[in-house]
Amino acid sequence: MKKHLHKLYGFLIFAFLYAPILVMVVYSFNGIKSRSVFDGFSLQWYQALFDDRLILESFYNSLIVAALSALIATVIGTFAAVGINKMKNRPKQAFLFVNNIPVVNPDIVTAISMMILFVFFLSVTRAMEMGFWTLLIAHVTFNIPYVVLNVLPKLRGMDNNIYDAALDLGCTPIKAFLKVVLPQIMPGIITGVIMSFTLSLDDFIISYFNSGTSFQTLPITIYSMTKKPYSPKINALSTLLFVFVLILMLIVNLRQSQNEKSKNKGGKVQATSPVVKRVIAVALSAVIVVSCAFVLVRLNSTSEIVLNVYNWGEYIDLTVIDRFEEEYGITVNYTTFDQNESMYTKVISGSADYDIVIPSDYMISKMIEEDLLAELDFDNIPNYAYIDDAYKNLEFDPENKYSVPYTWGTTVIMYNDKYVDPEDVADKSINLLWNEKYAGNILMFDNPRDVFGLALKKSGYSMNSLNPDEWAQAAADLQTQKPIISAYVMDQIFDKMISEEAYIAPYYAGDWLIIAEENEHVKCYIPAEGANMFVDSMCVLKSSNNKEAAELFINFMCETEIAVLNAEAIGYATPHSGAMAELDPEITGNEIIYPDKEVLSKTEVFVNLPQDVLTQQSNYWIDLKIESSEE
Amino acid sequence: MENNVLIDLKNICVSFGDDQILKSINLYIRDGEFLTLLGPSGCGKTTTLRVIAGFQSPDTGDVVFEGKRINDVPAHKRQVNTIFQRYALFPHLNVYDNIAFGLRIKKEKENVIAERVTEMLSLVNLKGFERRAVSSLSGGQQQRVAIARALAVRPKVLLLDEPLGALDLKLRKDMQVELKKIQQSLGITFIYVTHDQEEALSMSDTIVVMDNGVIQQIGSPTDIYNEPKNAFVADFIGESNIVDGVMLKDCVVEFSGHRFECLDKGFAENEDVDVVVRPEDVDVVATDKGMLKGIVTSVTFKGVHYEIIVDIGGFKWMIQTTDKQDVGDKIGLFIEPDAIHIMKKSEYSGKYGDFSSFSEEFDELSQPDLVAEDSEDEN
Ligand SMILES: Nc1ncnc2c1ncn2[C@@H]1O[C@H](COP(=O)(O)OP(=O)(O)O)[C@@H](O)[C@H]1O
Ligand SMILES: [Mg+2]
Repeated sequence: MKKHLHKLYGFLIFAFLYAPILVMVVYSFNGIKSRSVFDGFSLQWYQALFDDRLILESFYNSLIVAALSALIATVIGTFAAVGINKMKNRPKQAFLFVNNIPVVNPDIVTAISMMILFVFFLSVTRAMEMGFWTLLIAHVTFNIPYVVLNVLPKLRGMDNNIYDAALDLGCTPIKAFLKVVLPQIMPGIITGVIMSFTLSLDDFIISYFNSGTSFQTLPITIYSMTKKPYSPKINALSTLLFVFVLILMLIVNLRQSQNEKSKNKGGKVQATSPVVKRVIAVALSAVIVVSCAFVLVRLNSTSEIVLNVYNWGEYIDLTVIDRFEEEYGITVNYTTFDQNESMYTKVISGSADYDIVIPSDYMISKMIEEDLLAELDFDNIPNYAYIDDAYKNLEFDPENKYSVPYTWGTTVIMYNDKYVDPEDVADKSINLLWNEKYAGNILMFDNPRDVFGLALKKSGYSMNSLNPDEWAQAAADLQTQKPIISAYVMDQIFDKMISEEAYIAPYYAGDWLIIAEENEHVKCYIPAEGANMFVDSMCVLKSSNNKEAAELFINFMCETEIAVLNAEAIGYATPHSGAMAELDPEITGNEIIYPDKEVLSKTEVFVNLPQDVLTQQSNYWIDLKIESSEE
Repeated sequence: MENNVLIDLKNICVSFGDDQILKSINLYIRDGEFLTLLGPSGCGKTTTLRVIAGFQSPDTGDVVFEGKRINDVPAHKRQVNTIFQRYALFPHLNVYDNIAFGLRIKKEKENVIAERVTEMLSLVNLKGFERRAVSSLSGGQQQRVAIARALAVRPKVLLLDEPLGALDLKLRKDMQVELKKIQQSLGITFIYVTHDQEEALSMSDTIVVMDNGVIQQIGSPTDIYNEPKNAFVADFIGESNIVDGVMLKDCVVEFSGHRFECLDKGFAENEDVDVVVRPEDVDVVATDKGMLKGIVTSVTFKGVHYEIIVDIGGFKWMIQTTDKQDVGDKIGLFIEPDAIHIMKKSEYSGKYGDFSSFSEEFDELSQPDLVAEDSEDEN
């Protein structure tokens, strides 16, 4: 009985650890884009993965940084461990303490402090820009403590006399270290390398702050994709990574258990077979050669013009970039973000020097106020003429001096017609979100601006209201709504609506299309009280040194053919009249995506709110969120 | 004699922090000699070896090898090799590669190496063990590998740091004989460290008795045994009864309230001295014939003889005798002049040679110093 319990326990632990990975692997072969239904075996997501230049490039970047930083950190860390091990007790304790601080320190502290140091150092010396080198240094730095922690116990466990014995038999100190000490601590070193490698591959925060403009690692790319519905490409990528790490671990474990077996048996020592040794040597030198080549290429490729473009994740047809590079011989460093706020943080951190950013409306007005954007020379952007007048001179950039609209859309209210009475949606009102009949099946946005926008609009106020009383009422309304809300979420809205876990939710028009494709019962309307219209526009930063090239790029993006490619890839509405004409009429005829002028006239764009209103908003928001998590 | 001195230590001092571990060591070692450093655990034997091997540089003093000062010659360039206290074999190499290690460093040809390794393996009786992992060997076998590894590079001097310390008694005795044989057949110099006086007495040409970082006495085993210089040496080398005495004049000494004839001369008249009498040199006689009289307080059967403790005027003597006595018996003791050895008073006077607190277990416990060594080596 007890034995069975043991087995069950073991099984449960395994299931708990590996079930998620198994599910992910299975779904990477899914024939359709769903996280809940498996429909036929297909390699399409692997295909999509290998077609995604941004993912592949950042994956390659991640591998190079991980491999190089692991190697360098291991060499430095091993010598550090040897030094620390030789120290007297007191200084040794002190060193270990210092060594351990970065390990327990929150990553964000490490990340920011390094960034500040780099920015300071680089602004003084003007030696180079933040990018590959700073990222590499940062990764080496945070990996070293882990190597030390892995190697030191092996050194401690070693009989000190064997080093002396090697000297005694004629080894120079260096030879003695290589021939005798190194083999003893090798298991620790290997664990150190692997740990550094995976930590580096995994890292987001430190990379985010220290990679500058030009260099994006895989975690940053993936993270920036989360604004859009989650793509099964990630399943395929994760599966590949998992298999890669699995193979690595298997090799290491096999080697170790082989050695141990031969030792325990008291049999012959199986000195690592020459073949295995050669394979390892070849693999190592391959890594080093590739890395060096990569470094050399980076060193040499700084002469021509390089445009640094910072856009939302999955917000472009990537072939467009290739075409631009080919046509104009300008290199584009294309990197991605997931939120206006994280883009803003990075721009003002001083660690980056982007040329082009593509923020949303309110962020554009904020950046204009803060003098971060350059006035555009529209003589260089003749294709600006294609932009429909409806999207020019909007509130966030009233004279349209700083921005060229790229995509736009409105918020909509989605409902599932299987559960929601037709009469409840007849008036197309925001009040549906407050309808107690559907308590527990209603979702809300998980960001204050959209939530308060809806609440203000519900009472007929402006989404950009400056009146404290109106805000107070909106906050009170949200408090009364809270009990019937199932969750405040963002991209989970996709899943919950598709799986019919929830019946009613607000979201963005372009994303409703994706949901409706998977569940035809999800319908939507643009609220009659008026909706938020968001516009994402291309802007050039004031700090850019390549303003003309940047304008060239913006102009290129406004070529009709290019605009069509992008509109098709993104799924949001395009402000480009030329593209509108060429797009599939089924899309342009959809009155949710391209609503008519009358509906549009009731929409409102967000502008940047004054600080006191923002403070008030965030206080109300915290009240709402904190109590909700207490329940 | 001077011309075949191989190693000369002159005024060697070593300190760790505030502790002076070696206090002005002066010692020369002749070519082909079997010299033993003998002393209790922690007295500085290992440190002395490390100074010779080059792992420890002395604070002051010179290390001279074949007439040349070698203080600045690093360990790997010295023509001495060491057998470490816990063998220090290379765990990642098999027996063959361990023994071949030094030769490979010297870039010998592989066929020369193979020949030498085979030779060494037969020297230490380990033929057929070439491919074994060292961790699969017994302590005795590991010891032999360590010896073979050190000898393979044909050193002029072999330093052995308590090489038999971890072996059981039987194996120890066998290895003592083997080591001595090896030393004699190869004709190389052995500097041997032990805390076991019996081992030292049976193997050495010269014994250096150390305590507390100071050399107490240097001499042949018989010299050291028969003519210890002070109470420490007398007690450390075999059992001794050490009593206070007064040298009345040459060849006459008084102790335990009795006058004795002896062979020692050259002391001042009425000088206070330490008198040593070995337990086996005392004869038990009838009370009326004895020079001293006492009561038996304990009897232990030791196989060849009995070991009895006799209370003589409050001072407990140990005596070895073949005649059985009983506790409580009154007996007389007879001591020949040549059984008496007179020593000058020293800092050790009064600390040793009284068996009133004698207990065998205590003696046993104080012997193995491996436990203490382990913790020392950690730093
Ligand atoms: N590296 C060292 N640092 C500090 N103290 C040491 C060191 N090596 C030895 N000692 C001390 O020196 C003394 C003599 O040590 P050692 O020569 O090993 O003695 P033995 O070999 O005679 O037992 C011991 O008290 C030991 O603690
Ligand atoms: Mg020692």
